[in-house]
Amino acid sequence: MAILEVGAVSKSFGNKYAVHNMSLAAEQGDIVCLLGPSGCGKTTLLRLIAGLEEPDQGYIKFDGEPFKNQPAQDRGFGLMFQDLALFPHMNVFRNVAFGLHMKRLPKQEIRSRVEQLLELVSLVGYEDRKIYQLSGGERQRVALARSLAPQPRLLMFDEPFGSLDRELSEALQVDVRNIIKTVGVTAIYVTHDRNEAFGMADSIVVMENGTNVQAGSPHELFTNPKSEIVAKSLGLRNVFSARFEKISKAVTLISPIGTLKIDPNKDYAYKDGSEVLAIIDQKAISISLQKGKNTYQGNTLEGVVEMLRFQGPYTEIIVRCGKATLSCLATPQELSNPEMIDAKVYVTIPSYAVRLLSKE
Amino acid sequence: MNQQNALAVTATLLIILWTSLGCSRQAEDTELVIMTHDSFDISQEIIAEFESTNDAKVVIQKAGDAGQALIRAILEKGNPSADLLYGVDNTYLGRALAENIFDPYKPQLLSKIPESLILDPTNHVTSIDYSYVTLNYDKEFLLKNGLLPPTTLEELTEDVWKGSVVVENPAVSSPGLAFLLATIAYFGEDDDYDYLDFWREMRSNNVLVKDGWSDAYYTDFSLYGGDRPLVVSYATSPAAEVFFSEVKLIEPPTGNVLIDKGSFLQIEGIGILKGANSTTLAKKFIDFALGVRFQEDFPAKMFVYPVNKDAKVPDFFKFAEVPTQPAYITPERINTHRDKWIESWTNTVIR
Amino acid sequence: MTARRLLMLGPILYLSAFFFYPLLTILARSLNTGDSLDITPFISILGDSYYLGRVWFTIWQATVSTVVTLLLGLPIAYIFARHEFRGKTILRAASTVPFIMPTIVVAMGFISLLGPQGALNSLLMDLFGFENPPIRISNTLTIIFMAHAFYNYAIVVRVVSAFWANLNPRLEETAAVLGASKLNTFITITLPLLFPSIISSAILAFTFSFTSFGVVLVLGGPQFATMEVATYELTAKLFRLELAGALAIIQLFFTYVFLLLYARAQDNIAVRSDLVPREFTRISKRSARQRVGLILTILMLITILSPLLILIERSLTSVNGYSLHHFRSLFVNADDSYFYLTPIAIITNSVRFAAMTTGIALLVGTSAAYLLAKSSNRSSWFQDAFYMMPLGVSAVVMGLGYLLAFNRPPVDLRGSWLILIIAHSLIAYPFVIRSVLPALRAVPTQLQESAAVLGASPTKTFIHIYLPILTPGLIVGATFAFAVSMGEFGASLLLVRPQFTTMPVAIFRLLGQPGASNFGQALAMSSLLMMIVAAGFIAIERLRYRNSGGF
Repeated sequence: MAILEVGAVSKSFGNKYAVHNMSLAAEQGDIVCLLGPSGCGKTTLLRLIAGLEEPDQGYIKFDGEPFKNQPAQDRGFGLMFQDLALFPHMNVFRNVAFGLHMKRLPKQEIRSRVEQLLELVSLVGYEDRKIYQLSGGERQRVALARSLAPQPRLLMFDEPFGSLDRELSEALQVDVRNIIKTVGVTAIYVTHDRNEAFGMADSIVVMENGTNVQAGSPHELFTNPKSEIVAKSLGLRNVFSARFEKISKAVTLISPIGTLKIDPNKDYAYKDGSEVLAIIDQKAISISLQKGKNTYQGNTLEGVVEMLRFQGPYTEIIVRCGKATLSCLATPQELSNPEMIDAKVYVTIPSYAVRLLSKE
Repeated sequence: MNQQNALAVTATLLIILWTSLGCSRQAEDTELVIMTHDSFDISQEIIAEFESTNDAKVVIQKAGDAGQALIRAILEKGNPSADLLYGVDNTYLGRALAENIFDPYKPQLLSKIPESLILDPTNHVTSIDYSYVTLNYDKEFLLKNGLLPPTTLEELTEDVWKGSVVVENPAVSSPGLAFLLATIAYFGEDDDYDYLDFWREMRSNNVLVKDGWSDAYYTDFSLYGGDRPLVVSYATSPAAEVFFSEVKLIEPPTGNVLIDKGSFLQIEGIGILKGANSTTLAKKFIDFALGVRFQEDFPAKMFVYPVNKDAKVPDFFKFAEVPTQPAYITPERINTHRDKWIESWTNTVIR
Repeated sequence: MTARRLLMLGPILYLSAFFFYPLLTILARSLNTGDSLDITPFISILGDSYYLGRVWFTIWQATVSTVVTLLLGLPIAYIFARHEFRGKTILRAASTVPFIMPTIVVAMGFISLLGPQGALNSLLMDLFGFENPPIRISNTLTIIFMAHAFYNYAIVVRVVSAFWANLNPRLEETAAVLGASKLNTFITITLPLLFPSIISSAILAFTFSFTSFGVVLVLGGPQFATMEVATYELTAKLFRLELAGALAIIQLFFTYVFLLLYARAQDNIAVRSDLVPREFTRISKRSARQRVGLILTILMLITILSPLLILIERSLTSVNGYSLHHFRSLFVNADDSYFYLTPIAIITNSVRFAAMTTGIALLVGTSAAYLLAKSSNRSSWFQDAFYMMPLGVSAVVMGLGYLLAFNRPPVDLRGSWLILIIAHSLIAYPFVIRSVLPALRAVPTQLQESAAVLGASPTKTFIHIYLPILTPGLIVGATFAFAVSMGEFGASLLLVRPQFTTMPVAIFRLLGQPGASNFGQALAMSSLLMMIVAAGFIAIERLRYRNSGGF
């Protein structure tokens, strides 16, 4: 049974819903990532779980017990804000010890627990440092140690690495995940960065407009996104809404980039006129300056190169086809040439590169 | 910011210095500056008359209360900011004369001032007006409580008047000092029961001391919301109450406690400051101030009596009962003993 | 570099010219009896048990008054910082009105409310059938504490709430999540973080109570004389200038010591806390408990203001019930007085002087605060206390100093309105320092550096980085600079000619004569003063820098 259950929770500010009919569940010891763009209600959801806000509707249960107007200090949770909210008037020791002091633990116990935690976050000897003397990464570690100190039943992170550079952030993610797993605490981790989510999460909840659009393990979501929003928030490119037109020997798919013929033998329930999500694999698309043939093994579309993006081993080529653009990853040297911009090209999309997902 | 801000500060300083250059004194005898205390008041018309007859401009500089105006004149000795100081009374005259801040002038109308109202026989200060400091009582309050106004000062130390009197601190207030002087004249200094004995009993009878007349009158006097029906004020105050009443009163809401030597005669005068710019004008103004026009104008404004015996007082002064036997102590004696009296009083009543 | 030097020169030059020069002039004059400086006056003062008693009394009454002031001010500071409610702007403006009211008017308000014939006593007597008024606080120490709190709580409200409004609420929330109760959070997190602004306002309240003159004089009576009152007695009535001078120096010395202690404490506790825009700190949805708290605090504020509300009511009351009679009679020069000015002219005087004072105080105060924020070594304590000194000087002595110092061409300021503005701005600019400095110190250096790296000139850095963050402080400073000038009375009475009569002086003059109509007109003028000042406060808030981004 899930340790944390959020059931159909709604919260509005003024006449605007921040969280609307939101449900999620977290298993003991799991790291659950809330993924979604800024303003989608992730932070509000955390505040609701933490007890900093009260939901208008719905329930939040922990270990089977529903919360009812229980203030934050009585929930035994931890919450790390994006701005960390380290207490500027206290040194590192007092920051980490804060929650322990609030529990009125004996001095000796507090001291040894703080030492233990500072060791865990590799900050041994930092006890007397002032907060403003710390680097960004050190602050994150102090905040983490402080959150862990009172042994919370649930630890929540609100984009804790948002303000750090990528390298430091990635290094810390690994550390934090290891620490969380070592401690074995259940964690909810809010981010808008899918790479962070993939790196951290045991399961991901994609949020949009205050509600849960899809939840599952990173792999499940990646292989089976149920909507354009989910697909896009997982970083999939070339996601198009499409419609079946004529189903006979070959299936015709009307998409913004043009009409595609699809192999009808594929295991899919076709229905005339139904809407689907078409996702085209960037790496499978080939580009050439010569026109090829349209078959159901492959469609060739005409397009104009709009942009080139050098990405080390690949060059991303953005080609305008019909009403939309197609992102292709290409290796050929000739195509990575800046003079290619505005050139007329032919893109060939093999039918195995097209994934069709039913739209919900 | 820094540059602009610093420049702005510097500019402000320069402007202030520059503007102040324009404030230096006018040429001799075209402008008359009169320094006075805050209660001074006169009609526009009267000043305009003096200005047009003498083709001069009158500037009146108010400098706080009478004490503050005098200390300012003393500090400015030799380089006065004014030509005349108006408002030296018999309680401070000695001090002013000792500091030698005035030039003597014998006005033409001196003979119009009764002998008893001559403030300074050496004519450094010329008497202009006089008044009586006395206790006022709240008629309605006394009536409600079945009391009659006291007839002797001793009575004030009795139980009936416990917590009923508010006086001003003689160390800071003119009427306060005047009333202290009245009690000195009344009880004497070295008698078996002297003024300090009286004040000691007043203290145990819960007398309230306030520092200013306005505070005592408008916050502690029962007429204006306080709980003290007896206040040290002026003999003309009942008349002023009628004059300044909201509805026309036929009799004042307050009355004077008329006890022989229980009130004090305060005479106020004017003098030409040594080193004055416009001495001729100043002399003309003193003569003008003794004239009937001027003398008949200020009583209705300052609620004081004119010293010129030809001058008539306004009709409503009939509501002010004049004490027939006011206390009087010579300015010399006041000057010699004032500090000691105030100190003894303070030790007895306050400390 | 030259700009920096000019900046440093500005406040120092100003202080030297308009504070130290006149002060030294009068002190030299009063203490120099012969050819050499005489120390006997100090010996006479310090050897006299009466004056020693005054020194002690002054210190402890100021301490008690400050505590009462803080207790009154902090809850109100909280609601203005964190809550949004209808009428907040007006209520906030009204909350600062007491600060400027002439003491005699406040005394009349207190008497109307709490006096023996006051509203509260009458009510209690009617309700419970008391024979005598049950509440007797006229002329007691209690009423002095109450009055000091009444005058100064607005300093706490303004200074603290300006800081509180930008205090990151995540800190308190984090504490809550970590298991701290509301009370614990307040004690361990909120209070320490607010401390710089709390003691900033406390030192101002303390200094004002310490040099208190009018309140003690009018409400307490001579038995409660402070050093300032004793100085006045010595000057204006006893003509003992040498003793007055000595006492003034003793008062200034104590003020300096307190300011120094304060600056030291301030330095130790100042933290670089993250300030965030106000939108993030506002309570968006009130819990039932918060709602009750808010209502109770607003009621408390209205109670504090009630002495003034009663006076407004009385100013509108004439013999035949409510009317504008008293206001109308202000416009009539009934007896052709030479000194009559229309209320319009008087209001114009007051507002003009106050506007000029505010301008000068903002310039001098901001430059001084900037300098103080820059100098991080120990000398900044001495500097800080040095800039604050004008607050501790005896106004009575200072007034005389001005007359002596600026009395000869080319600088003869006697009778000029300039002298008034200078005197007012001397008391006003320390408010700007105190309200700007906490925010200035909280600005992380990186912010300035990053702006510099981005290519911003110092001027641009100031306008785009500092100004938005300083805006709340500047508004508080401007509010009090304006208030100080609008309410100032002593210097206005002493230093200028009648055509420059200000509103408090006009009120005082009306109360200089007996009679119900003088009383009524004085109340009407007081009501006008309250309204003008409240309008001024609202106008100052409107000046808020447009791009301040919620600061």
